[in-house]
Amino acid sequence: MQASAEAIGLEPAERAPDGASPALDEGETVLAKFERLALVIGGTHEQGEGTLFITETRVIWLSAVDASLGYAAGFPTIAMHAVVSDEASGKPCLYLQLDNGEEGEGFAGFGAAPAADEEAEEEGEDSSEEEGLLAELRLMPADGSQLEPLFQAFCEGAERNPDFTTDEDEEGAGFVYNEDEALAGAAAAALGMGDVEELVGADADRFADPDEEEEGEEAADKPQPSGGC
Amino acid sequence: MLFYSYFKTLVGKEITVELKNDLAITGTLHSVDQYLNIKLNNIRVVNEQKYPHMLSVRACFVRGSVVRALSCYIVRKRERVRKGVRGA
Repeated sequence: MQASAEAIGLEPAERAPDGASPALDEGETVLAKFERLALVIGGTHEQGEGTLFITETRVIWLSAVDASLGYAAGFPTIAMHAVVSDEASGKPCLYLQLDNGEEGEGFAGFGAAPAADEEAEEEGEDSSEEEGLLAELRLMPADGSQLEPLFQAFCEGAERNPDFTTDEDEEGAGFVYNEDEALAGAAAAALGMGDVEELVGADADRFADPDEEEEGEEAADKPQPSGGC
Repeated sequence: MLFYSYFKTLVGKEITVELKNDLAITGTLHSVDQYLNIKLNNIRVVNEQKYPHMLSVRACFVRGSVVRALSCYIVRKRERVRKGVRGA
């Protein structure tokens, strides 16, 4: 279950020493807490009742029954949330869809029907979709009056955690570089260095082939002088 | 900010939001923010069979980053706005 949950964007949640509250990142605080929420993953995997904690950057659900069971998701992972009537009980619940960022057929788990393991293998599907876990959750409160503040809390969490990179705004967004190399290159350019002869320096012999007497050395590692590279 | 300005003009109108996972939701646009997060009321799911758990949706919030496209009907003429930034 844990592996499938992680495949759809849910991380296992660690607890603080008191066992009842979540382990938080540095600077992270609990902004709101909702008790007695039953969690259902993927439409059918009931996780039982637990407590939901809302922090600045994520939501954390800890089981009230099983001290080793808990899930966390960052707000950017939550694609949408809605107040819906649960079809089984007819009671209102919070429905969420997750987006773990995978491209292809959209969200992981979607695009393919939630097939049983055997069926999925027969269809020759990607191993990551073998579980067929739909990337959707339902939070069912024991107290219906919690739904409105719960919905609001998720709205505010999403607004607090927007995606930052947009193609229009940032030129070269996503461009990967090595900061040290870039800085060294910039420093070299500033000093007017960059010409090979200048880089080689006065003692060009240090780049010559090793003498045959130096048997212990890894001759292959020594740089060969070339016409400029 | 071009999309945001346009979407603001659609507040109160009925629109259909398409998510990147092919979920399509029709509803009245309640609000939109600068990140194109969308809140809808009076919702119905377009492809109900695929998402059976989304019955009787009362209020809905869609994260801007997962919206693929948004459609609306203006005076019997259908206008479809496709977000080209992230690709389909």
